[in-house]
Amino acid sequence: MKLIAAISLLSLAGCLAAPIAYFLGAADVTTYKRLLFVFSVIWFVAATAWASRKS
Amino acid sequence: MPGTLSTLARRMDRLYEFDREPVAEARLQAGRRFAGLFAGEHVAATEFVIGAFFVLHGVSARDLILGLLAGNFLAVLSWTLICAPIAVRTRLTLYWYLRKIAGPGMTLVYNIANAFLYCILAGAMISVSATAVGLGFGIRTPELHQLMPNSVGWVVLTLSIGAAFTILAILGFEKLSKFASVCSPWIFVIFLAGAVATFRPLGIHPNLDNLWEVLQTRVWNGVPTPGQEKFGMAHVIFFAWFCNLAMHAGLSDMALFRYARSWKYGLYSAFGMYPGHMLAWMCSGIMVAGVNRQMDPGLMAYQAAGLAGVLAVMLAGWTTANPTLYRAGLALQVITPDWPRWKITLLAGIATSILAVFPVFFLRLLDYVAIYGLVLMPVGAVVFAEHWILPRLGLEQYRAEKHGWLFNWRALLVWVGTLAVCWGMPFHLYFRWLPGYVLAVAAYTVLQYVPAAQRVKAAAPVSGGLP
Repeated sequence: MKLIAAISLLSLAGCLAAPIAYFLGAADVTTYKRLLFVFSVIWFVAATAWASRKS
Repeated sequence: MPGTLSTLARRMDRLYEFDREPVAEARLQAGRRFAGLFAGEHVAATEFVIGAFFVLHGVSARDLILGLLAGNFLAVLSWTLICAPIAVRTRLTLYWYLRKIAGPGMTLVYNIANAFLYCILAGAMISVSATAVGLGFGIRTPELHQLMPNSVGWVVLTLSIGAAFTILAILGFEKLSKFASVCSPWIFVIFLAGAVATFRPLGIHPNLDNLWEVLQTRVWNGVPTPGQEKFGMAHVIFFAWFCNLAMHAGLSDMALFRYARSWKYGLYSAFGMYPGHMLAWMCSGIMVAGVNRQMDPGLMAYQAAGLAGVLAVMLAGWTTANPTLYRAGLALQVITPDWPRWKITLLAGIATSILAVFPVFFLRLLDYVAIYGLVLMPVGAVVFAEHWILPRLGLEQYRAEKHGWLFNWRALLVWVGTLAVCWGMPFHLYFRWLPGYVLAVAAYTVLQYVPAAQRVKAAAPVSGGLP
């Protein structure tokens, strides 16, 4: 449960880190959008599992 | 006719039977639940459109920030000082409290009006989702001046999305609502991500030294897009304030706050207002500036956040439309009591999908939000007057319930009369609700006071009469 929660929160943090990396010039636009999408998929998988275990 | 109405009203009572009793002490909820609910509810597809429209209406950066700070503060105060105190004192939903005050007939009319307005809102959200899905099929979003569908592709697309949302709602409304709660924090993050990513194409330096200058010149530069009305700070303040008018001053959120331990829980609405109705609006404003002010939420999100952005617009539209279909279905169930739930949801879904075909509802979303709040506001004013003012004047409360009236005609007259007066007010639509609210409270109080005074006069012995 704690692991799933941690993965969920980290993926959300990743969703925020990706555009910051792009803005700071550390990633190009394609990499940023790919990272954002991947972190989003991880969020949906982990957060759905987290929510269903909680309920 | 009265027979039919009272039958319909009885059916409606049965539907809402489960929350007829005031909430018991043991079922009251902690404050963090309210914070979570508000935070989740106020980041929806509408945010993609509203924030972008402020840019198109030529709001300046200073007016926007100050306006949103003030307007959202007023909205939070309205929840805290108008809605929450009545909810906490009565522990009832607006449905049951209004029934005591205005009678079951008026409650029925109110619910159906609410369902109809909700259907239009859901239709607008389907249109917003369609702008995202349409990107994949090369279907162009209608332009600002196009109030009717612009192509067969748009019609097919909106109807298909409407059908998909309806089928999903039929298959399992509750599970989907739980999934929607998973979507909310992510959608908010996508708003932030999209805005931050747009900083670079807008020319904002990594050290942010020119942030304010770019926001003032390239985002909220104070120049409206051709054909759009110029908005100032007052427009922003009033819009942010009345955006959820039906919920706070209109008292719909009594359903929520009847579970609050204290009226001060109204302050938790700030968790919805400032992230959703300030940050998310500002983020969508920045994103629309990144696509040269094109009102196309799908394109805007795709440019700013890629596929994740498209997904966010789709899911935001869907998570708004889903509970709306449920609510509309609930109201329709009164007229069709023998129908199973799936059939009613289907009917609401068909109506909503047809409305979604017409882009007017999402391209005129700001005006629609104003009208939505305005239409339901007088009912909140009537309840406010009945709850706070009548007892202070020594007037009898809840006469509809005590006398078994189907309609409290005075309440109905105030509702219709206020709307008629607001319609004719010689100023901008956004500013009409406040004088309308004051007028409705005063009119209802006077209409209750005058006959009561006459009854007292008639009952008093006449001086100089019989010994």
